[in-house]
Amino acid sequence: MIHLKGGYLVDPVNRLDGPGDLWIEGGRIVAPPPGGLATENVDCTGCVVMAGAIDIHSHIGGGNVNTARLLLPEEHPAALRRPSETALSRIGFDVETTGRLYAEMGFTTVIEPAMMPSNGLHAHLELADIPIIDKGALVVLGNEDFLLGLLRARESRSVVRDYVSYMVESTGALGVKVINAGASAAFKANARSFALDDEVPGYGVSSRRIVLALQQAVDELGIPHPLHIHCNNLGVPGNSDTALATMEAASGRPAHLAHIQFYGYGREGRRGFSSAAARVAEEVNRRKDVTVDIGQIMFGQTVTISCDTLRQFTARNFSRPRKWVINETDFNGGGIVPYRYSSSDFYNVVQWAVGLELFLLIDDPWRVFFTTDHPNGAPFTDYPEIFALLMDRRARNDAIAKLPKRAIAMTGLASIGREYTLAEIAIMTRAAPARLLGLADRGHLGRGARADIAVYRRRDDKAEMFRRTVATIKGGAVVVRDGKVIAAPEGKALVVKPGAGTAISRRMERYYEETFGLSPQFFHVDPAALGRAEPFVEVPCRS
Amino acid sequence: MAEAYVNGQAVPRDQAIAAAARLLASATLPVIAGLAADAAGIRSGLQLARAIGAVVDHAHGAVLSREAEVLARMGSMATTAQEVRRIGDVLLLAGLGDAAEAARLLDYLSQGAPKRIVSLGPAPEANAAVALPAEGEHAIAGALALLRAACAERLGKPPADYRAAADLLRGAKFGAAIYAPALLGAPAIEMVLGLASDLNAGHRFSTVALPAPANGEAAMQICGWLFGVPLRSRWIDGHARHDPWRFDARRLVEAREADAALWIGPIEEPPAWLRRVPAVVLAGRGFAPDKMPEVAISVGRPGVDHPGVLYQLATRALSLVPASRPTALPTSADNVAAIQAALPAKGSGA
Repeated sequence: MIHLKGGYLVDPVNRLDGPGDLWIEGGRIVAPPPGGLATENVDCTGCVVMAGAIDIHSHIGGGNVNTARLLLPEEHPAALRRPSETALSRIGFDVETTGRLYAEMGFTTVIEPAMMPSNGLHAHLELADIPIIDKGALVVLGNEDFLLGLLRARESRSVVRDYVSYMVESTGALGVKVINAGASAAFKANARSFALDDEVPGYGVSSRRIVLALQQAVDELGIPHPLHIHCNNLGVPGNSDTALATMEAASGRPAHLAHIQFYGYGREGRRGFSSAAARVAEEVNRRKDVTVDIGQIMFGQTVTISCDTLRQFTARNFSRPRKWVINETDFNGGGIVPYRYSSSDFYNVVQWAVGLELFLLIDDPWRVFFTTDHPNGAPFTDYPEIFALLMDRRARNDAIAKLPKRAIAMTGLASIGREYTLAEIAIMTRAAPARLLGLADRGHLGRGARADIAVYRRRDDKAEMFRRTVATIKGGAVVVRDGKVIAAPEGKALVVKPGAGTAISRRMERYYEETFGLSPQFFHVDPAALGRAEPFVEVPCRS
Repeated sequence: MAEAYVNGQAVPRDQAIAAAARLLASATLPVIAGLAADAAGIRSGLQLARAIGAVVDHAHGAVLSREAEVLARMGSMATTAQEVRRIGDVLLLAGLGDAAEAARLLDYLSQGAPKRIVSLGPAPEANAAVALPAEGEHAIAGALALLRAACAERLGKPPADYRAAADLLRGAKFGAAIYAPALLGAPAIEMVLGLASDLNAGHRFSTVALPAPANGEAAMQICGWLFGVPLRSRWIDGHARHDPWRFDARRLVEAREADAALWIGPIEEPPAWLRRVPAVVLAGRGFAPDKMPEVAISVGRPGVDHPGVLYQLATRALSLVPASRPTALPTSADNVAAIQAALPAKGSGA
């Protein structure tokens, strides 16, 4: 039994915001034992104790991340004569460092948001090698010939539902993501831009129809996480229109809009690029069935990784260093474009401010999620600095003061006084993600909860506070002590099993055989292939 | 082959495992090569390498390295064979040769949408619309450069067949260059990728490479996530070092820099150069060399004796391949894990 003693508990789910102790046994939080004896004590005096953090959108594994590694060997510490800091060394560009760095910051569950079905087994093998943290993956649908063919033929919604269910189960997914719906298919037919009401050539199916069909299927299957939507027109000036139109289209059912910062742009000003964050935030505030994550950018070298092949093909001209990869498949494919966000670049500064504005102007911390779209906006190791920018107005103003005034003037950031409280941080990074993903036993400190816990030394400098935990507890075991990993157990993959019909399975066998000379078994993720005892944990669907 | 041999004598497996562990642990610079195994076998080899500071390379490390270097220099534009089969309308066969794998790939592609073919290389495809003869690595690179220049209209008056080829490629709806990195030098590979990239200014074009044999692409991917860098690397002091020349297993053995080797090779047996170094060989049941290595252990072949995760030509992805004739032979991963478990405690230098 472990005793976390003398800490300050912050758990909005159980209305805890004050001093208290926690007791852990059998991997769970338990009632205080009568005798009060523990085998292991963690002194939490002067510390804030929260549930382990949950990252809902971070590209940590799967083919595209690995392509980025292989594209950029010079950004790895290995390329230096003596290992020290390089731009990407902060990311921990091998799986073991990924798990360790997350655990040291008190994160215990991370969702890989873009698992291409064809890469499902690769993604799971790679994710399984990330130690400590639990993982989940969203399967990317919405650009493949089979689904577009169903929609073209106006097949019934039950057929689409069966298909989605089949793909989720076959690939071991926790949910479904759609990425620039139809655009990767349209790009194969030489489209260079793609909007919500554009039709995929050869199918007569609009992006809107694809999004709505998938959203409906996910909802009707009872998959806890609503459809995770990467909208059209990512990064394009004036694309707040697209975000608003997508929210309008999706209204009536839950929808999650990913990395909304990349859609927070207007066309004002001499350069035709401005913040439309206030307009987007107002719409999010108004629509209670919408959740968003931010995709904050931070300045520095990174690499953008996306299944939005059309967008990444356009972005190739901005690659720094000058090299890029576009991989196309029957599904979305992937684009890898190295990029450097510069604090002297007008556009990058506006992007930075838009992300912070959205964080601060969206009122409900239950519906806005903390992400950098790692590594697209910034590596996840920049999270502590972002916590500081959100929680400390002075730190934010200091940062603003260092940036070009002309860019900041195209945003409303300087006039916002809000500071996130610890309780709001706990909601945004713990309680809300657990609820969004259907993980009832995570994100809080109540009795019976999974003992995934982060203990932070209370400090005025919030970046210092959140950089390293005093202790991280994963599944009831102390894995980090004084900011250093002391144990690296294996994590699990979280999956849902909505129940796939056999009719669709036969139909897909036929389609794959006729079209590709293959069995759809090629993307089936057999847990036995992962070489581990019980690699999956099932998350129940809504009944 | 019996279960296991030490110095040519048949021994129980445990004894061979212990001898293997001793040999590797006592080496100053061990190499773990071959990696011609399923994903689990490759992964176990890379993990052992991290533990003992061994160099890692693949049986087809030369080709894999060439591809990795081109990727790191310029990136790439690529697609899958399955997608080219479905929608590809124009193919550029870029120095493809007439190896069985190439024929198999072309046969696979030909079963989908009808395709017109530009065939550049020594043995023109019989039903090619345009043939551009070129023989040898340098001539092929030169012909590709000429074709790329013709496509970009950088030649005043290209030769007629190059003009015809360029017209065909530039008129593609979704074209693909098909090439075998094993047959091309790095400049030619760069030219194929650059040509494909250029063509996208007007229409859609991409590339399909024949994967390296013996699950090489899987080895490269797994090294990517476990080491963070391509193969031909070594884990030293908590960091991966990558150097395609320095960590070439064959060079290390022939230069006598390496003093022990582990060849993981249920899919491909060790080459002759491995005999120059004290070696542990994990091989399929048919392994019967003239002279046995110091330690030889028979292992199951993935997809034959046991199921295994293998890289697939059509999908460019990893799939689980069931056993075609299941046996009880232990897997490469089982044996490598046993060797790692048998290492003396001081061997864990990671």
